[in-house]
Amino acid sequence: MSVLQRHNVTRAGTATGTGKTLIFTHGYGCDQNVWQPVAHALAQTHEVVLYDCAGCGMADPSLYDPVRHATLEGHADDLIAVCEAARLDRPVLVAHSVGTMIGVLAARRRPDLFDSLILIAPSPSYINDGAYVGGFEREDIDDLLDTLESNHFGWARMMAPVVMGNPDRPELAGALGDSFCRMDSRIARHFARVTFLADHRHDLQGVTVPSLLLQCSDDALAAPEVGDYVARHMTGSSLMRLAATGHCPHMSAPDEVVQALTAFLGRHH
Amino acid sequence: MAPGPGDSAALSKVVLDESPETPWGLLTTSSDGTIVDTNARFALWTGRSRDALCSGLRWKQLLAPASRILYETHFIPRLEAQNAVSEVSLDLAREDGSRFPILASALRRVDPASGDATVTITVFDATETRRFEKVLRKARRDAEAATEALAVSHQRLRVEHEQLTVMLRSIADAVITTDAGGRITSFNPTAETVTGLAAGAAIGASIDSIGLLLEAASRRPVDLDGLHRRWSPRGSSDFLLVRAGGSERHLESTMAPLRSEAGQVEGWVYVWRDVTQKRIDDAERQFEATHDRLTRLLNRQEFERLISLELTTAKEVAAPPSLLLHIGLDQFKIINDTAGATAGDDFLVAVATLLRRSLRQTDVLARLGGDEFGVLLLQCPVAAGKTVAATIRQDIENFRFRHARVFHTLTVSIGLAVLPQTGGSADDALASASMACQTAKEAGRNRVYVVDAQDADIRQRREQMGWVSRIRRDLDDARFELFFQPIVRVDGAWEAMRHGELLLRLRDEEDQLVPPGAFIHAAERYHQMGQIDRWVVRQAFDWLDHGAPVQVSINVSGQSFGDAGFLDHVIEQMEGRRWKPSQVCFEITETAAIANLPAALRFIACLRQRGCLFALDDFGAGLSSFGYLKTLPVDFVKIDGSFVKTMVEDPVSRAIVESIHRVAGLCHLRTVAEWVEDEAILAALREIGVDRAQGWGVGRPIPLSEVDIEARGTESARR
Repeated sequence: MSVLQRHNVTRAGTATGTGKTLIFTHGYGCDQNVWQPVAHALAQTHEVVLYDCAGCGMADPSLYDPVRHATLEGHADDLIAVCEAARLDRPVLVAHSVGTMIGVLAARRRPDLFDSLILIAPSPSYINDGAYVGGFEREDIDDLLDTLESNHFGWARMMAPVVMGNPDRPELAGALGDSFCRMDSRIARHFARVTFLADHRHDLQGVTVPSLLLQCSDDALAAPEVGDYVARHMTGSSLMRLAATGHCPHMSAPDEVVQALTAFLGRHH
Repeated sequence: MAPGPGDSAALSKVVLDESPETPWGLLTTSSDGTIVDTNARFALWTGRSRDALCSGLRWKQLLAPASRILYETHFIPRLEAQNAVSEVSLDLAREDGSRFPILASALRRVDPASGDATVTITVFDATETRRFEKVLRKARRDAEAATEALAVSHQRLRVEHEQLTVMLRSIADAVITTDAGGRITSFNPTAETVTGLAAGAAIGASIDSIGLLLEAASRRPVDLDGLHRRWSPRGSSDFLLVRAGGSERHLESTMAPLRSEAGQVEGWVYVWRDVTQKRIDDAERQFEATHDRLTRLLNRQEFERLISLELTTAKEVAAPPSLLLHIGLDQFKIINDTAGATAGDDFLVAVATLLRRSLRQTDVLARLGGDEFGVLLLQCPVAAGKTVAATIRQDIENFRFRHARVFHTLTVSIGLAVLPQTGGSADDALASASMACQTAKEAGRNRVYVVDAQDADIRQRREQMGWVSRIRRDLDDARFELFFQPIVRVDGAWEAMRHGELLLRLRDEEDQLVPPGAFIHAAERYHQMGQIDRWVVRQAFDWLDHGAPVQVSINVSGQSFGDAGFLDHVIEQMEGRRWKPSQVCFEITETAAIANLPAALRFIACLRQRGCLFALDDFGAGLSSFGYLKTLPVDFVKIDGSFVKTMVEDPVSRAIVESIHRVAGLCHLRTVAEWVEDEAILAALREIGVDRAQGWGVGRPIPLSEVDIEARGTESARR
């Protein structure tokens, strides 16, 4: 099974004019389907490449290796492998939530690989640490693991598998059903621990490619101060605050996100 | 597009149930989560008033931090993607810090007229569910821990299995395991080599299918089931594996049952060591140990063993006896000397081949040494054995051995001895056959001599054999004694020194004196004379040291001439003596001197130079020739007693004595007459003029101790 198959890579659109290739990395708890509205819009002018991180969505279940994926570095390696396997020519990385740090690590490692980064709701660390306000205490993360488990009990009870929407036909997105963003409960716990206990504050300054940071208002996971922190420590980054509320602007306010992305891509090139 | 908190009033207010008895919570929010309205139950659960809740608060702000993460990462994406979320477990965070577990479901509706979205959220009390889940969670964690422990031990077992597999792969023994039904479950690479089967083909097949297993000794098929039943931990067996192609491997097999924890036999492990090469080597070593290197016949040791075996084997009374042939090549030395040792070896091999051809399959043929062969004819009537021996003799006589364009012929002398039906030793049997062969040689060679149990010649030889060990023992025990027999002047003239011959006597266990005739012959035949002569010389010289004024004659055998060490011994013994060498006269027989003339001449010359005298003993008895009287530089000629004894009544005897005396005189040799038994003889000798006489008539043999007394007496009389 090729890397592309293992990561359930889907491609759409073609680069026209100044259009670049965009590769999307989703955040914790979901899969590439969260990009449907944004990717669908951008595919008109760009080539868009979606994939599922290890342990998520339709990625090969055997891909998730508790050792390799014990840190986000493993996911960064995966991202690099996907870019190389897909023979992407300096794509723009669009990443959300924990995906933003995966992107930061990959770009640090391979500055040659990416044209630029667009990070939505980034946070280098979710744990409060002295003056740094990550938004959570260590115990909250333990709580999260319990709560996650409660939900898996619940989801297990109402198992009603619905055929996964065909990613090539976005109109079927509404029929995602319960399988949407479903994870194996063990992987969910492991991935949650890796995600929410990671501290990548020191990795931010290693990024040399230009980047756009999209900061939402009223995001329970990434407070405005976190956005400021990232902007301060990443050279060549520009911070843009969105009107959209919550942690998932690409879902709740896809138009605004598309606008911001298009503006960045246009200006930058 | 998403309405802000301030727009909430503009939303159509949902009329909610006011009854505090409603068991579930209910709230409506705008699309960004700002609370529009709640029911009393929900307000109660949050610990806040409805007014407080509806004053622009987002409902996620009521959630505990962990629930907020879940809300953002799970609840919202689902709601956005599907417009509905069902039963998400969350915790409400009350103002007092306590948590209230809930199960929240949400439905998003978009007003077709305004395009605004309203979210209706139903909330259930999940306290009980969560408590139940907590128990479940603990159970699951325990199960996971157990699984993990299992995984660890599984990993360890896997490693062990890996190590064992590596060991099995590298081990030099074939290791095969089967299940209880005899079906092969593992087959290591050595097993592949030994059986010639691939593991892939063997595994799953029956153990019986790898080839025919035979018991090595009996070549009977191996009964594996029987071996399983009789299994013991220390047993090992020798198998032959006949492989598919027909080739055989010799296996040293051990096996052990594989047992379940309950002790049930669940299969067997067979360990087979391929000892084919080792067995071949063993057989070769065994062959080398029991066979003659040159002719590849059995060697003497093995031949003796087989004879012993035959002697101890019980036989039917009526069964014919077993016979033993001792075959000696006649004058084989000639071939070795004339054609060379290699030709000699080739000849021996040829003879071995010839002999084998003349024998039955069951007969045993061996090379006993040098040019001697032995045959054991098992259960063969004597007449038939004689025929076999005669055939062999004839075959060898007819055989022409060609070497370097020259044909050599040879004959054999064969001794045939009958093995006793029971008892007896292999040594005795071999000695009988050997002596029979010797007799055949002495009778003129190229003939067969059959030993009769009553055979006088053989009995005599046996007696001689007994003497050999006795002579050795007697020399050690000083059982030999020397006697002195006077030799006197026939004319009665006075002599300054007494003269006599030293005679050897043996004192047996009963203190009886044994005359030399009984043992000298054996001593000569078995080469003991050198020992005896040395002893006599030493004793005589020591005795002379005592000062007796005598001249002694000492007998020296022919064997001692041939022994260069003997001359050295005599010279060495003469060193530092208080008597004159002329007091010693060595007597040698004509026959012995002629048999080894150069050695005799060297011996005589060497000792005469030192002053010793020599006498030619028993002259006239053998193939005497007066010519030797010229050749041998001796001082005395001792006329053989057989003529002297009869010279008075037999004129021929007297004439012989006379002529010997005359010739001796012409050669300036003095004469001594032996066996002078009476006065008449002495008178006749006096007439002839013989110088000296010896015999019972002039003096009996006396112990040396008596000679000393007589000598002293003579001396005092002289004074």
